[in-house]
Amino acid sequence: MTWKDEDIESALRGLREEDVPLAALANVRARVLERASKGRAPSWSWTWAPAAAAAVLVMVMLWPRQEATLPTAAPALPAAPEEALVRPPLGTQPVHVQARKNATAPAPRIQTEFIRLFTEDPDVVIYWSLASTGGAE
Amino acid sequence: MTGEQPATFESLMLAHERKVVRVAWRMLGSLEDAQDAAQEVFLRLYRHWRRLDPLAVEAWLYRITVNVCCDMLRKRRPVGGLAEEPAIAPSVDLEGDERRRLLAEGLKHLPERERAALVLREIEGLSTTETAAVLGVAETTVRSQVSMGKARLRKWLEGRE
Repeated sequence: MTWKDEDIESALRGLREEDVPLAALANVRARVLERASKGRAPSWSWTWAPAAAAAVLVMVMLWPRQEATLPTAAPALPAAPEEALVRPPLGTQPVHVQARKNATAPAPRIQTEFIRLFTEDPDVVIYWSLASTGGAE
Repeated sequence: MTGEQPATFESLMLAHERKVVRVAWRMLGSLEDAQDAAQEVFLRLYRHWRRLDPLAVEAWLYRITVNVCCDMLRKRRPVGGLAEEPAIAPSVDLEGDERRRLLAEGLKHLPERERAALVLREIEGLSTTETAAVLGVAETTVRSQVSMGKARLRKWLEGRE
């Protein structure tokens, strides 16, 4: 078989006329459309991420807050001296006064006293309860 | 080149799929590889088709097809033998069939740029100007590549006999 330029050109044109199998075209089309539709579908994670973030933000904003009790800066009081020197009037000896170490007052003790009252009926006796704080005040 | 203006990506693909697969088939010498290449080409088209000038889609597709095929040719091992020869539809023109089969085989042995120039210029029937635009080279380069491609092809064909 001899090959001239015309033969080569003619055979090349013949390759163009040769039909591409329809199955191959359909296969390409199906693969492309499948991949394209996958690329078009949004990822669920990306869809839900902004919604989840918004929900968290709303929860944080609506969450009941505890009133923060900031320590108030109390004015610093001078410490009580252990002993105070009280200067008496002239001519008398100075007296050392012991400072009370336990400044907190003891809890008042409640004492209950009962008074028994007799009535005319010997079967009836009245008990009168008297509660007192022990006379601390 | 024709300037169609399909409304959707699918209609665009339907309008051009035949020529994309055909070019890829002749560039790669395998219908199976041609389908892979065409898939890649159309996925690239899918990403860009809205921004493309409808009148320039065909040239763009030719360029991308040639580029994708050249990438695939570089990646895969050297071809050879008749196992990957594309199937040729049977016809009564047995001598013509044999010539086309040999030619398709011979194309595989050309350098990629000469092969691309021959496929676009001689098989697809583009003008020298259009082929030059697709390949991004001067028209004189296309003429040179086509001429050298034919000479190399003839040499290969005659060596087979």
